[in-house]
Amino acid sequence: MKMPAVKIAFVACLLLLLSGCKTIPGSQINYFSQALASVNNVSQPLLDDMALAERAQGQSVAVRRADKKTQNGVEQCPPAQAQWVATSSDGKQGFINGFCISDAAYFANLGDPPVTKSIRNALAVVDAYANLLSGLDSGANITTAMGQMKGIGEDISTLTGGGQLIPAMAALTPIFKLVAQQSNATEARRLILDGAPHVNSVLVSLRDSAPVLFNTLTESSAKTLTGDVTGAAAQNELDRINTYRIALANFVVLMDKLQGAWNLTVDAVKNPESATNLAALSRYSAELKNDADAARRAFALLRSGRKSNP
Amino acid sequence: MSNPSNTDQINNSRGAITDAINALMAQRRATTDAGQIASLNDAIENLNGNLQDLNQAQGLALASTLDAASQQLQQIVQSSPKDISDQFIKQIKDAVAKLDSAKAK
Repeated sequence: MKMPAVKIAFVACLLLLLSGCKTIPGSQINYFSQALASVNNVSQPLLDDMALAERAQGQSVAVRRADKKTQNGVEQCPPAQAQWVATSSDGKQGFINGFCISDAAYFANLGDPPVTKSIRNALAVVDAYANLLSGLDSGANITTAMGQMKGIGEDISTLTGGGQLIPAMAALTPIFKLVAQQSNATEARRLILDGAPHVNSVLVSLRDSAPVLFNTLTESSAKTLTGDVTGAAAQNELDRINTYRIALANFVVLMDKLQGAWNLTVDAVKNPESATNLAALSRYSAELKNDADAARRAFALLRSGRKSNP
Repeated sequence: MSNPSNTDQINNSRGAITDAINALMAQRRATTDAGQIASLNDAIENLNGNLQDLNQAQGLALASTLDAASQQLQQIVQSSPKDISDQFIKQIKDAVAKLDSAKAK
C-alpha cells in the first residue's frame, strides 16, 4: 500500500527538481496589466470616434470612386460595378448604382471598419497576453490541478482496494502544489521572453497609429474649415481639431509609458536579482494611471460637446 | 509604419496638397467674383479628396502592420498550454497506470 505513494512522491520530486527554482515576476506583471488597463480605458472612446470618422471616410471615398474622381480601391471595386448616378444638377446628390463587398465594412452598422478593428484587436491581443500572465501569477490553474489530484487519489484508492492512500496523497499535496507553481513560473518566464519582441512590435505600431488616427478624426473638420466657413462654426471645428490633437498626444505619452512598463517587466525576468526596477515600475504605473484618468476626463469633455482646452 | 519610404512619400504628398489648398484659399480671400469663388471651392474640394485618399491608404497600411504584429503575439498566447499542470497530472496518471499494470501481474 505504501508503494504507490512513494512512487508518486518520487515522480513529484523529480518534476520539482527538473523544473528548477523559478519565480514569477508577479508584481511586474500586475503593474503592466494595470498600465494596460489604463491605456485601454482611455483608448476605447477615442476608437469609438475613430470608427465613425473612418466609416464616413470610407463612404466618401466610395462615392468619389463611383463618380470616377479617385482611383482609390478601384481594383476591388471598379466603377463599372458601382457607378455614381447624379440626381441633382450639380452632381453632388445621387446614389451608387451597385454594391462592392470591399466597401461593406464602411457602410455596415455592425462591427468596426478596418483600421479601427486592427487597433482594437491589437489592444485585445496584448490584453489577452497580460491576462494569461496574470492567470499564471494568481495560480488559478493550480486550484484545478489540485482538484484533479484529489480525483487521482480516489482512483488509486479504488485500484488498491483501500482508503489508506487518500491521506498519503493529501500529505503530498504541498509538493504537487510546489511543482505546479514552478510550472507556472517557467511558463510565465517563457511567455515573457518569447513574447517580448512581439509585444514591442504591437506597442510601437499602436503608438505609430497616432498620426493616422489624427488625420482621420480631423478630416471632416479640415474639410469644413477649408470651405468658406467663419465665426462660431469655424471656431467649433478648430476646437475639435485642437482637442483631438491633445487626446492623441496623451495617447502617445501613455503608450510610451506602457512600453516603459513592459520593458521593466522583461528586465525583471532577465535580471531577477534587480530590486530597483520594481520601484521604477510602481512609479510608472501610478503615473500612468493618473495621466490616463486626466486624459479620459479631458476627452469626455469633448464628447459631451464642451471645450477641453483653450 | 512598416515602410518608412512610403510614409515619407505620403507625408510629402500631404505637404504639397496642403500648400496648394493654402494658395487656393488665399486666392479665394482676395476675390469677390462669385464664379471664381465657386471654381476655387471645387478645386479645394478635389484636393481635400486627394488628402482623404492618402489618409485611407496610410490607415490601411497601418492596419496591415498592426495585424501582422498582433497575429505573432496571438500565436504566442495560443502556444501556452490551456492548463500548465496538465503535463504534470498526466505523468502522475501514467505512474498510476503502471502501478495498476504491475498489480495485475
